[in-house]
Amino acid sequence: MGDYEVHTDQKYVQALLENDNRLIAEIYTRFAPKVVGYIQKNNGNESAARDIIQEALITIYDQAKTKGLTLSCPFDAYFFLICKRKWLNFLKKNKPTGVTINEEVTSIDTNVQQQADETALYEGRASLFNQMLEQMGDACKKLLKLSFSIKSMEEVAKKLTVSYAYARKKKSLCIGKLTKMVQESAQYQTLKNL
Amino acid sequence: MDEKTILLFDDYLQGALSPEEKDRLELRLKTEPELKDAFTIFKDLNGHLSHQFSDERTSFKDTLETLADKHLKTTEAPKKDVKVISFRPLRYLVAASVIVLFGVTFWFQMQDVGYDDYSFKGSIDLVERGGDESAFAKAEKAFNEGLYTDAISYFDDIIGNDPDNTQVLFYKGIALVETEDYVNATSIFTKLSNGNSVFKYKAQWYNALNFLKQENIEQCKQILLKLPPEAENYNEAQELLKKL
Repeated sequence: MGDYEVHTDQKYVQALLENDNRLIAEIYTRFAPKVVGYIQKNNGNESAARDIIQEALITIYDQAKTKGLTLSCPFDAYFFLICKRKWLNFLKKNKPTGVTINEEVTSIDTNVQQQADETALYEGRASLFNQMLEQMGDACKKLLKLSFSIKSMEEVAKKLTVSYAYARKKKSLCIGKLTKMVQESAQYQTLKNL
Repeated sequence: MDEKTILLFDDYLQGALSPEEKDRLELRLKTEPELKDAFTIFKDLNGHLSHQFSDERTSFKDTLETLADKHLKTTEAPKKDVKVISFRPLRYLVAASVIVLFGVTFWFQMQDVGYDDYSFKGSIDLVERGGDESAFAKAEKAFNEGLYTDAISYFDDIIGNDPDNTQVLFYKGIALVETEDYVNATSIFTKLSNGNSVFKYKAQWYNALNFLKQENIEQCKQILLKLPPEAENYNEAQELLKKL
């Protein structure tokens, strides 16, 4: 974290963290329409906008939850930029030819950009973790999924009919293996150099 | 990274190292960038996975779905190869609730048209991005095509590997109601309502509807009476109770 001031809109990040229905609803009423408008103007519809908005909010929530997220700029601008980038990425992947993108010529606050960059970096890492997990052997994948959804290693051990000590050790070794897979992946090297 | 290092990392994160061992590792982390890098990933993976599979995250996603349903339209054709309109379980529950909200006057008519007419025109969404030939994909497809018996057998495959997958259990409950296997449906809904998952109260509400479908009004009422105010279907349940 830098030495910047925390923006008052931090309350929206907090609302996501606390699953605060009322304030999260405000995100939908105050900030979502702008995203919907942008996507509609750029070869999309409200349904596509919905997917982008949901994805963006989940990413922000995930980041805030696991790495902490201190907002130094207005939520509106930050959220919009994340959605906009997501949408442009989507277009790039899915409509390779003949798409004209309505790039608005507005200058974006560097603070907002920096904050959105951090989120993008976080997301890249998280999605790499998920990808590598899916590529693991079934035994490790199953053990990890069980361990992290059940929490109690005693129960996991019982379920897999192995000893507690074995389950714990195996879990660590699987995470170790996953660490190695991440570290050796090309994407990780790219992310590292960003 | 060898086994010893991995277990050392793990002990460090669990706080299981002696002060000397801890100092020694911290010193190594300062001087060995490769090790530091591996340690950071190892630590982040622990945090990431435990968040990714948490009930809390599932509840959060449910909140977002409910709010998006309320504030954003999804009239466009769904992206998946499902012929039905996108109709998530939450909306399905809302639809089911709407049915029971019809007035007392139409009560008997309502029972005639009620549950079966409105039920499973919808689709469920089980496959995370990149899902393919998994039991999840097969279950989702069968369920969405109305092949509930097939769906149940795929659900069973998933549950066999992951007995605590509450989402799948919940859908299996719905499929069982649809195949009129009321007893097993009740047993699943009861198990879920006694648990602590996000489906706790939905399952309870659904169990009430299960009895409603069997026209077992007394049992239906009993279950509705136990639904606590924090349940998302509480208001509907109160309305329904009045009408019963």
